[in-house]
Amino acid sequence: MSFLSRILVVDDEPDILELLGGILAPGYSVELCQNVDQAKDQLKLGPFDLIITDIAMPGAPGTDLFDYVKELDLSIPILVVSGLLELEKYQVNSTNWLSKPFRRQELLDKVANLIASNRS
Amino acid sequence: MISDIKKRLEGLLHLLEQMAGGDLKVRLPLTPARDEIDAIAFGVNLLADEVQFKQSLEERRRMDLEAAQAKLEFTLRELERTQDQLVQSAKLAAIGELCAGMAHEINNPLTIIQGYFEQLEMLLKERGSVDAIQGLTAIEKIGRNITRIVELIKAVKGFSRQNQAEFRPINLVTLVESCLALLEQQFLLRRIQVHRRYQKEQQLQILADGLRFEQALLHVLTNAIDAIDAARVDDRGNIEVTLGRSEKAVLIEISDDGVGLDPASSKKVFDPFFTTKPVGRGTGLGLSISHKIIRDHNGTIDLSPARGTGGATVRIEIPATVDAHP
Repeated sequence: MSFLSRILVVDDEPDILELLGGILAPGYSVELCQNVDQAKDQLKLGPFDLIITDIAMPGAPGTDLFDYVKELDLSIPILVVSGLLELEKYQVNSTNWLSKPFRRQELLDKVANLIASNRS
Repeated sequence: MISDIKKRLEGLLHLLEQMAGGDLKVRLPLTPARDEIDAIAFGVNLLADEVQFKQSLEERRRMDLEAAQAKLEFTLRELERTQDQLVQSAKLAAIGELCAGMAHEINNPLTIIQGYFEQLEMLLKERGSVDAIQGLTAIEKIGRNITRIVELIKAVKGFSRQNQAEFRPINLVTLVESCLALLEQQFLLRRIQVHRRYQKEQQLQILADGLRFEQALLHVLTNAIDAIDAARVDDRGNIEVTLGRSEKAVLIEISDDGVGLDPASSKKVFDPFFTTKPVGRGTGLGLSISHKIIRDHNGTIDLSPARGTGGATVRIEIPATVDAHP
């Protein structure tokens, strides 16, 4: 039985997806998706402790997941990882926003904090 | 007696000549006799008073007019200055958008570079060596993404030399694709589908100042995006880009299924400062800049309702540099 927290990672760039997976995999159970539709399917399948998503992706923007999580009445924190500059346009604040490029430790700290604060 | 009358009449005549010569300050002398000659002199004096008064009114009116004209010229100069400032701020806004787009485009490859760089650094610190395959994979990814950034910077470098017109034979497909690539993120964020209908690439050559022409197309495309924005809450629009030929010209049509424009507004869209966007959204300069650039290329640009979608179509014609039927 696994006690690792589950993280759903969504980014349309395979290299970034692989990189995020590589950084997180030692400490978490990670599921990788290349678009919002895939992510929605994953959310229907099982519980997650955190969603990490890019914003600008083909199909639908990652911010759609905020509405989807509400729609499913789930309590999952979402960390937006994006290279866009205008963060005030989206439903994010400094806690659930990480600017690209990021340092791996920054990512690990944000992830740990968001999962811990959602549990408490 | 007669010689006296003659003398008085000669005096009157002399003074009348002075008046006729423009000296309205002179007045005919009246004598104690109060006879007919005095009556004439009196009448002439009254007339001179009247003319002098009218002249002074005229003078005042002329001065008022001159003052108004000076004021108008001043206002006009102010207006020209404001227009220059607005053009400048429109340019700055365009630069701002460009920078934001650039930042996003650079941040993605930079994330990969930084990520794999840190991975190598960590492995070397922890183990003192890196597995050859793992190391090469990381280096290959870093290299590929450095190239991505270099290519991007090459593509936008020219914006810094916008003032020197450089007319060169240009393939329109390459140019249009470069504009669409710059707006890619905007399309994705708004779920806008871009449909391309291009004729044979060899026939789509024009003589153009590539950077300025790109600027003209970017304004038209941005306008199409804004029209779609205004039409629907959740966006999801369509933009169709058609590149075709007539006998002598290359045709570019950019259609959107956005809000569209009424016929009265369609005529004004290329006027500077005309905008139907909410306050603060549009400077009303974008399409007027496009208009100027297209005119500088001996081309024409017009806007009409899009067929069947309720949106708008911007049609541009530019003289072609190769025959339609080679």
